[in-house]
Amino acid sequence: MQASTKTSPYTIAFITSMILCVIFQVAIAVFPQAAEFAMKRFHLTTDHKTIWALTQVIPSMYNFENKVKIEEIFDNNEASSYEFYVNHYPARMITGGSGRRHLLKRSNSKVTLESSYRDVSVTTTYHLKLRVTADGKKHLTIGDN
Amino acid sequence: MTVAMVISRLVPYYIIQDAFEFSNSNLDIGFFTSLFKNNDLFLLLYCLPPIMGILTIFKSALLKPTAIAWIFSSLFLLWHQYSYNDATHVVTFWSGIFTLWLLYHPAEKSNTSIIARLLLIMTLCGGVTGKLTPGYLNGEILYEIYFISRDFWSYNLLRSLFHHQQLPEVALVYSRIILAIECTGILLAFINHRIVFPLIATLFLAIAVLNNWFLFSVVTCPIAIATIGFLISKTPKQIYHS
Repeated sequence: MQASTKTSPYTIAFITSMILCVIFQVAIAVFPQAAEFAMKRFHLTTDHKTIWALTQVIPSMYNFENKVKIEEIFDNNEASSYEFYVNHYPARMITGGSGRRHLLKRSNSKVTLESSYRDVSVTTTYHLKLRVTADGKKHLTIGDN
Repeated sequence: MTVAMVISRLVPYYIIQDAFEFSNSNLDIGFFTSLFKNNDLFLLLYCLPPIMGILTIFKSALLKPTAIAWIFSSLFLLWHQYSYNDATHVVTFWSGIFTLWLLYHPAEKSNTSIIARLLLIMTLCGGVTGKLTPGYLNGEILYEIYFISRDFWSYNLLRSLFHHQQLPEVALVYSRIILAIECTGILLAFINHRIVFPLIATLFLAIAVLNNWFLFSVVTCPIAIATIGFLISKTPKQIYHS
């Protein structure tokens, strides 16, 4: 007895979802609005978090020209800074790894993320303040501009 | 496929170290809710699927629940403050869906080739489209990130072979070769499975070996997908005529 090889609706849904992802990826190269949205996704500044969450499953490695500038602001308003390129998700310099480690030692920081794709660019600035509560826990939050 | 996903999750072990290190700090940039900053939930959902994956060696009945665990855990990690940026969880998400599909649709072998090819095309497309910008086309980005000071055998070798004034040109050539190979991988996905799957698996292997050992967390699953596509596969022509 031959097993049925009829295509199930789940297979069609699976294939369709991948095609939709590829369409989004190609749209980045074709439509500036799509590129801008994708860069805002990298900066964690999309208008709707639900759409951000849905697009998180779309592969996007080594996308865009991403530059990060980290400035430490001292009490006398002087600043020391350094900048560097990253391959993707420049906001990860704030949320994790060596970037977060660095920011947790600075009381007043400004992090500027700049992503560019041909003629489109997105710049986001995070002003961060560090405070330590009585229990010893460090809190890094958005401060005043 | 399960083995590949376990390896993917174990390679970036430093994320576990970071989770413990940052457990005594709170970062609030007005984006992630407390659920997706929760340290304990992160550790649980990070470790659970690999543990279940290892247990499937002893109990195959766990294969389906493990695939489901991979899908939901990967989704959670893609929304969590520690791990949203990691492409590892993108590939384990799709690999989990692929695994579940294989388990529930053993009779649809003719569709396996199509799905495996689409998964690989989607993964490669994710790299290609974002690089079609002057910084990658002229090599500047890779030069800044890797060629100046990245301590990795391939870049150490290039720095020893070329004068530092020649490195920007080397980076330009290197960057265009990467782009050309990724584009070729997408185009090859339409040809005979005996060629395309081994070639694409080799491509992904080269990405990790030549750039960053931690990239094995991302490429292991595509290599497994290519392997499965090769083993259970027909060419598009055979699919059309069957």
